[in-house]
Amino acid sequence: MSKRPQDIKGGSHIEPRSREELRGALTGAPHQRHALALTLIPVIHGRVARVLVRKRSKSKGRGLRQDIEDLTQDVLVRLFEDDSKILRRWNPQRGMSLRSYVGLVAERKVLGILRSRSRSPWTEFPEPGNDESLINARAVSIQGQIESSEFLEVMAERLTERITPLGMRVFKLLFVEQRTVKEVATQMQTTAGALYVWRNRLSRAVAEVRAELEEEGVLYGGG
Amino acid sequence: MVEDESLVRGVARAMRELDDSDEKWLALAEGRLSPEEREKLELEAKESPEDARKFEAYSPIDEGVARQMAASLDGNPVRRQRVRRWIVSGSALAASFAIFLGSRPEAEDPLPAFTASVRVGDAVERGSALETRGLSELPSTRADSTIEVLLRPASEATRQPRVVVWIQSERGRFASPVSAEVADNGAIRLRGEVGAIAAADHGPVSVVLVVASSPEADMERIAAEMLSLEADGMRRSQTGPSWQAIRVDALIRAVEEPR
Repeated sequence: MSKRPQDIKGGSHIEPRSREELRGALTGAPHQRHALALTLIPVIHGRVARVLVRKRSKSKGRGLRQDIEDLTQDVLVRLFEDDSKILRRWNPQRGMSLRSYVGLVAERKVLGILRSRSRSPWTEFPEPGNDESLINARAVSIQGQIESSEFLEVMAERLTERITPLGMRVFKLLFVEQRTVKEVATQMQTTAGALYVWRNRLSRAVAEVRAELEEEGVLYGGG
Repeated sequence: MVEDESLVRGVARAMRELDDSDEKWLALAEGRLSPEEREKLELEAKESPEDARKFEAYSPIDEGVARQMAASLDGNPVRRQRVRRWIVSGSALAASFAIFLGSRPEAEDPLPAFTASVRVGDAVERGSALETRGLSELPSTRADSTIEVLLRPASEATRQPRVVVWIQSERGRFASPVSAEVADNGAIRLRGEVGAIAAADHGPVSVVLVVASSPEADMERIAAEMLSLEADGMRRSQTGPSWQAIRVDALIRAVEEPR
């Protein structure tokens, strides 16, 4: 069904399949680094667009395109800064392609950028807490929260920002795709015991995010 | 706890639904769609404003722009030509537009490219051409209204830029008593009451920000040149080897005395 970008673009894009290949692209000639960046830019762009489209769903009279390109550039720079520290953390043995890893990192970064005034001084992006729909959200019970798609989307967003790409990978496999512990252990080359630890950790993170949102007064648990 | 488990399942369900609904759009951004799939999406976008908005947001980044982004990793300033955009928020005029296309590569102290965002007081304006506006069409504002000029670098500045703010008003040409702030990442902001920044309570005023990386740049001269340009049909921004400048004009309305 779908083509991969490198099939479309020809030889100007490269997608490392191993850490060695990634290191080679990062430390090799500038054109290799550029080729890697050109592979990752569409992935980053998609995730940035996803976040901004969601956040600005109610904004009027304003195009998103420029902000999307600005933030794509911003995230790209962050991936490659400090000797590409973030990219070098990618471990394909965990069952994630570089593109998937970068997608998760990009989404996390852009959410962080939008939320953090310190990293985006005088930003013109609205803070999530100021989102009209959230401010106007009525107080709901825990049952109401579970049934509120708006609340759950905010929870999903905060969780993405909070947990590491590896944690998000585990969350997606165990909870979103509902795979068995055995399957996930095989795919991620880890043990069932390690996954149970992850499971508890992720459940705790969800509870913490909920408490955090309630504390911020974004949504209320009582009632 | 059962409630926590339900919440985890709920969040997972929300993620699943978001992933499913976004998949085709992510595929569009990443160039993974076949021409037929893309065409279908484009047709859907024509039927729905929401899909049209998504189509614009997710349409692949132009190859040339992507190459410039990649080149910026080597410290080359981004030379993206951007479309000027306007934001109208409440009763405030907010004009955002790209003013700088980056410094010339031969500069010893190149500045990063900046995007300018300008908000002027309580004037309301829609997408009119700031660059060709005459004096009678200047944004009208009050002395106690807020003006904000925000310059955001496309990439981290290698050294902190110097900034000066100059004013032209009926009193003449002088340095503003209000300074611009410079953030650690090189972003620059001038914010305050129009009257305080321009040291005026009525009449036409022009505010010029000059940003330079090199100590050699004669910022006062650059500001003077920018301020001497005719208001009608002038360019609002100029770029030199190691400096960039933007000018914002406004008309301060005199406050009527109560009868």
